[in-house]
Formats: sequence, C-alpha cells, structure tokens
Amino acid sequence: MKGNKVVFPESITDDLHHCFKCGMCQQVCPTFKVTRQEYYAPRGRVQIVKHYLEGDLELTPTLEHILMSCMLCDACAALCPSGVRVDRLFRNMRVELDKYTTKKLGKKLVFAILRNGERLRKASRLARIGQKFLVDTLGTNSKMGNIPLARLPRITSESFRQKVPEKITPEGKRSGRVIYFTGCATDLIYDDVGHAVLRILGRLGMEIVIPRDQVCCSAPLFLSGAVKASLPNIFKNLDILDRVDADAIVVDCATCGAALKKGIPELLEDLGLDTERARRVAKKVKDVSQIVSERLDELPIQENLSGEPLAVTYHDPCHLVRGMGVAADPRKILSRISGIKLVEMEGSSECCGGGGYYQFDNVDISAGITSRKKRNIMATGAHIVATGCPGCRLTLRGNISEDENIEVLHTMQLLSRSLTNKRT
Amino acid sequence: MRHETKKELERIVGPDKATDSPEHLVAYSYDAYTEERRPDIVLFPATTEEISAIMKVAHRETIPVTPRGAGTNLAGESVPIRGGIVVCLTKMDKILSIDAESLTATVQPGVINLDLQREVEKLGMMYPPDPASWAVATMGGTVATNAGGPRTLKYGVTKDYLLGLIVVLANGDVLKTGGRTLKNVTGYNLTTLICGSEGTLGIITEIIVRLIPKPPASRTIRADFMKLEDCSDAVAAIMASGSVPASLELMDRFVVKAVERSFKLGLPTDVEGILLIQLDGAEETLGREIKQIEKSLIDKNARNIIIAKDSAEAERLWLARRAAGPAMMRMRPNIITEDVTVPVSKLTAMIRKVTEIGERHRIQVGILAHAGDGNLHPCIVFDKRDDDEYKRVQAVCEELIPEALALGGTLSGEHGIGIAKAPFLKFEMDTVALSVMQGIKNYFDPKGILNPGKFV
Repeated sequence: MKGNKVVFPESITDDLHHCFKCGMCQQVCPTFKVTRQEYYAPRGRVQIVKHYLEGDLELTPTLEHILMSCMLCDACAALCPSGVRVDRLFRNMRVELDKYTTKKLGKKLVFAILRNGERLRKASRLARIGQKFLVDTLGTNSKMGNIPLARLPRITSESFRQKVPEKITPEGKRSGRVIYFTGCATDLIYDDVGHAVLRILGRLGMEIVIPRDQVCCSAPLFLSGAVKASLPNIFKNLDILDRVDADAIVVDCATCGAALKKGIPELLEDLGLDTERARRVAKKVKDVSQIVSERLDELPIQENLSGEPLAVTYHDPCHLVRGMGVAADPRKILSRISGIKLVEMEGSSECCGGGGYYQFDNVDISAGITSRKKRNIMATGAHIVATGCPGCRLTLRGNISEDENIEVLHTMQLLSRSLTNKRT
Repeated sequence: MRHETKKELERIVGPDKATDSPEHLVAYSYDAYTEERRPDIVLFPATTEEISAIMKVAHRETIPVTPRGAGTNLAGESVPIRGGIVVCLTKMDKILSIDAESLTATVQPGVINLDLQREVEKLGMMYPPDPASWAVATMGGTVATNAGGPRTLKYGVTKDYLLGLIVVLANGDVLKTGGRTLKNVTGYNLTTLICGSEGTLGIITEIIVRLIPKPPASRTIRADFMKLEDCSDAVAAIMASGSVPASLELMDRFVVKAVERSFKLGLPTDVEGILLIQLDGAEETLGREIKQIEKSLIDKNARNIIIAKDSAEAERLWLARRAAGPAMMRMRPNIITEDVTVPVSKLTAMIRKVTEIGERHRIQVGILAHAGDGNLHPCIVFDKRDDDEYKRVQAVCEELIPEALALGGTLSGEHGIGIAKAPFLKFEMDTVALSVMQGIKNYFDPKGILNPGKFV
C-alpha cells in the first residue's frame, strides 16, 4: 500500500476523510489568526497529515514545526461542522513524530524529570537556586521565551504536598470526602492556590485526601507525542485515584483536569488499552470551581460595602472551557464575591498563547497570540485577571509588565481572600 | 519553475513571505472543492507594488498565477490547477477607512468580511453581503466571486455594494476603477467586470464598498409544511405579496431529519419542509408585513407558524438553519453543495426535479435553499472513496444543470464557476457570449497566466 505506515486508530484516520476543507476552522484558530497562513490553520494541518499518511510528504523539521505549532486549544474541534476530532488526530500524529523528532535536549530533560516525582522535586530545588542565579547574573530584563525572568513565578522552597497533611478532616460536621489532585504547578510553584483550595474546601466541611505519591498527570508528555513515556505515570495515578474512596476528585489545574477527564481515557482508547478504570476515574473528576459553585451559599463571604467595586475579568483556559466544559461555574463564583465586578473581555475563551513548552518553542506565534489576549484584557480596564490554569497564569503574568499593575490570580485565590476569618 | 525565478520572486516579498517547501505547498493546493494541485511557490505580498512586481516577473516568464484569499471557494476557483505561483492576500488585511458620512469603506483584500461587518456596525451601518463563510472569507475573495448570502434577497449581492477597485493586471500594470461616489457613469463599468471574474482578469488589491444604515429592528418567523410543494409555493406567494424579507430560507425533510439526528433541536420530523423568514426594517412597518406574510403562509396550508417573541427566540429558530450545513456534513465524508438557481416562480418545479434525480441515481440529496431568490443548495452527501457512488454523484450534478436552465435558471447563483462548472458554461452562454468573454480575457491577459485552467 502506498503511503507512510502509521498505526492510527481507524476511527481517527477516518476523520481525515470527513474534513471536506470548508476552512471554517480559520476563524477560531489562534495560530492562524496571528499568521494568516494556511499551514498554521487546522485545515492546513489536517490536510498535511493526510498527505503525509498518503505518502506525499516526508517527516521533516518543517512538518514537525507545523504539527508542534498547534496550541491544542481544541477550539477547531469544538467548531468543526464535520465533527473532525482535530485535537485527537494531531495527538496521534505527534506520536509518529516522536519517533523521528529533532526535539531539543532541554525538552527531553524536562520530560525525563516530569516522569519521576522524586526527580521532579529535586530538579525544582535546583531550579529555585538556578532561577535566583540567573536573575542575579543576567539581570531581570533577560527573557525566557517572551517572559522576562523577573516575571516568572518563584519556585517554592518546599513541595506543597510534603508540607500539608495527607488527610485533612474538617473541624465540624463532615459534608463530603474528596481527593485533591494538586498537579505539579500547585505542588512546586503556585502553593498559594493549594492553600486557597484547602481553606475553601475546609470551610465547606470537606474531608480532603491529598495522596502524597500522586505524580505528574503526564499531559505535557502525551500531548507532545511522548506517549510511551507517559504511561507509567498515568497508571500510577489511576491506581491511586481509583483506590481511595471519595465523592469526587478535585483539580485546580485545568490541564490536569482535562487530562484526567478526557485526554487519558481517549489516549488509552486510541492505544487499544482498557479504558474502564480511566473512565471510572474521569467520571469523578471535577474542577474545584464546579464543587464550590454548587455550594456557594454555604461559604462565609465577606460583604464589602465600601467604595467602587474592583473590576475583575475572567480568562477561560482552553483546558477548562473546552477540555472540561467548565465556563459558568467560575463566573458564578466571581459574581458572588462582594467588592468586585466581573467585566467580560472580548474573546475570553481564546487561547492565551502559553501552554507547556509552546512559548519557548514558538516565540513569535506565542507572542502574537498573547498580545491579542492582552489587548482584550486591557480593554476591560480590569485590575485583576482571574483564571483556572497555572499555565495561563504564568503566561499572562509573564506578559503583563509590572507598571501595568494587573494581578493574575486563580479564581480560588480571589474567593479565599473574600472569606471571613470566623468559622461558620 | 526555475530556481533563479523563485529567488527573484522571493526578493520582491522578502524571504519570510515566500515559501516552496512541500508541506506549505500542500496547504495551498486546495479550496473547499475536491480537486487539488500544488503550486510551485506561495507568496504573501504586502503591497500593490509588490504584486505588480510579481506579475511583471510572471508575465515575462509566462508563469501561471492564482490569487487566493481564505480558500473557502466551493468551485475550485483558488486551486492552482496549472501550478505556478499562488499569490495569497491574507497579509493585506487593513481596513483603510470607514467614512460614516458618505457611507463607504475602503479595505485591503485580506480583510475578513465579518471583521468589516463588526467595525461598521459599531458606527450604526451595515455591509449587506453575508456569505455563509463570512467569518473567514476575505473581502478580496468575495469581490472576485461576487458573493451573495441569505440577506441578498432583500439587499443584493457584492456587486451592488462595490464602488471602486485597485487591480493589478497580468502585465503588472495597476488599474484603478470607479471611486467613492454612489453614482458613476464614467466609461465602461470596469468595477463590475472585475467583480466575479474569479481572478482571471487581475488581482484585486484595494476595494471601496458602499454601506447602508443598519435596519433598526427585525423579526423571525418559522413555518412548517406537511407538503413540500405548499412550502415552496408559499415562497412565491410571499415574494408576490409586496413585502421583501431580508432572508427566506427553506429546508426539506431530509435536512430537518439530519439536523435532528445530529443536534436534537426539537424540530418536527414529520413535515416535508420548513421555512425560516427574517424581516427587517422600521419597527412601525414590521407588524404589517408580518400579517401579510402570515396570510400567505396560511393560504398555502402551513401547519404551524411561529413568530419569535424576542431576539432570544429568533436566535433559537435560526439555530436550525445554521445547524443544517454541519448536520449534512456529518452524515457522510463528502458533500457537494450545488448552487443551481431558478426564477422563484419555478422553485417548486426545480425542487421536484432535484428530488427525482437524486432518487433515480440512489444518491442522498437534502435541499437547502435561499428560497426567496430561487437559489437552491441541494446538498449531495457521499463517500468519494466509493467509485461507483461518486460516479452517480457526478451524474446527478450533470443532470441538475440542464433542468435548471430549462426552467430559465442559471448554473450558479453564488458559488461561481471555477473548475467545477466550467464544462457546463456552454450550455448557458451561447457562442456570441462566450467569444465576447474570451475576447475580454485575451485583452486583459494575452498570455493566459491569470488563474488558468478555469472557466475562461
């Protein structure tokens, strides 16, 4: 048979024939909007994959760049009139790419670290020292990707999961039991979000289990094509999450959530592996905003009557709005917090231009996407951007200068700030 | 193409705006039609001057040049079927000016139709041409194909809003046509000649369009019919009743069922046809027009008439029409959206023909129509991998055309001729018309380098 031999699930290959090239995906694709070049549009990439599989194209650095320049924001798949699962198609194609890839040494190193919890903790301690060293020697103006070193988040001195108890029981009556899947970002960078989540769930009377041996969700690996490398972590997490008895599995990171809810079951299905356990776990996975918004009335939210309310705008992370289908819950929470006023930005569900390694690999495209997002944020006049993903938080804060004076926070941080100190 | 020529072209636009790597060429080998062919090089010029310089080289070397916008064409207009150069205009995407006093806008060809709509709407104006692809289609592309859309029923098509153009000719000369005035009878109307020429006469690099005040109010009506013939007869009755809806759309049972299967919007699947009608204008006159239309609908045995109470309900009703395309696309891997158009009085006869031809060839055809202007979009769904089925699909397309012509209609209402309908041109245009057209082509493009392999 003519064509490049690739082991794709048949249902995914079939999608290639369902793309009848209408081009409607151009309107939502962040990389196309910035470049206005067809090979950066979903339709272009789909057709390029099709031609590769038919044997008309070879694996080249250009092909690799085209496939890796997709943000996997999923906007095209959500819109596609023919229902082509573009995200899934590209993920499978990236597996193919992984065999030949010219992947840089840095990325290989990051993957090796993410695969191992202990290695990751050690690396982050080293990075904390390195980060200080870099800022001291290179100065605060030097950049990593588009982000000035000084605007990168500071790595925490100690892992969040090592610091907090593995099981937290509420003081009063127990209203439920949840597993908290913290993700690497909350564990090692944004422990402020972790503490906010614990405080809020605690106030709701939740018993919280934070399994200490949970590992990276592996989305950064399997979304980049490193599928084989991602499997040990995936199985380990499934073991833990399926073992502990709980009403729900709470995530505060949109990417972890989307991986557990959708990405991992689909991945296992595409690999022809058993998906039963992954689907059982997926059913229980909830973004923290979903849990909280249901029981918002039970929280002791401070009434702030003085002064003009502070303008806050909300950025929908791709992995939250499309990955998990969550858009209303964070808004409901923000609208309830007194002293702030939710001002919607134009294109709130458009990608921020960050995500995993993207902004370091595709500096120009990423900068273009982020500057659109930033323009929309600035137009609202908001002083705070709330969001639900550490990747977005890192990107947005990194691209807003100190003088512009806009804080980027997780929705839970804002909510936690508004809670009274007294127990109910 | 020679290496030196490629280098020369690359120097004109700059190395980052020229590419000949195979992956990139694949992305410029198609539009929404089935035929494909890779060009030899793709260029992304930024100015009229650059395009003029490109054309001088192409003219000297006799290299085919295919201009392109978003590439959403349905008839192969932007497929570089003879290879050569693709001039992609998407980087020329500035709205140069919007003049609220003289109601005009001047734009570059890469501006997206909907982006212009949004900008002029902020100023209380409207640019009526609204092709279904408006969220991605470029202004250059919509001018080159004289695009229409649902609301062209009341407002007319692209040519009716076009005042002037800048066009680079085959030899690199720059032609300016028309101007910023609504009235202009100076010389031949070259603006209208270029409009709809599908890139065969020149490359459009600047566009002046007319705007109109945005209608202050609108109403939406849905009517369900147990018999398709009543449904299409109602269309003719409405058009004869004295009020002109902005849009008047028809869906047959096949389409309605497809929508219900994919999207479950709660449409009645026992009906043979549904009409969706939008009226716009001044609040004071809308009530009267609705009554007129309601009467026509009742006269033609509408089983059920829904008049939307508010914009949210109107939006819900229109969702059915917007879901129709996607629903049809999801049925089978491939779709051809036909475009035959007949006088509105012949709508019923044409619909009957389409259904009969589809059934005879055992091909699935759903009928969508911008019914008010007789513009049918029979949606033919199939799997191109099945050779026998594809042959029958082609037979259906071929049979539709003489039927439409026999009823006084045309090959194409709005999708264009391109590659898809080029073989049928001779059935509609007689030898005199064809030779005048060829003469014009020869004058503009004696070497035949502009979008060759198409209808002229």
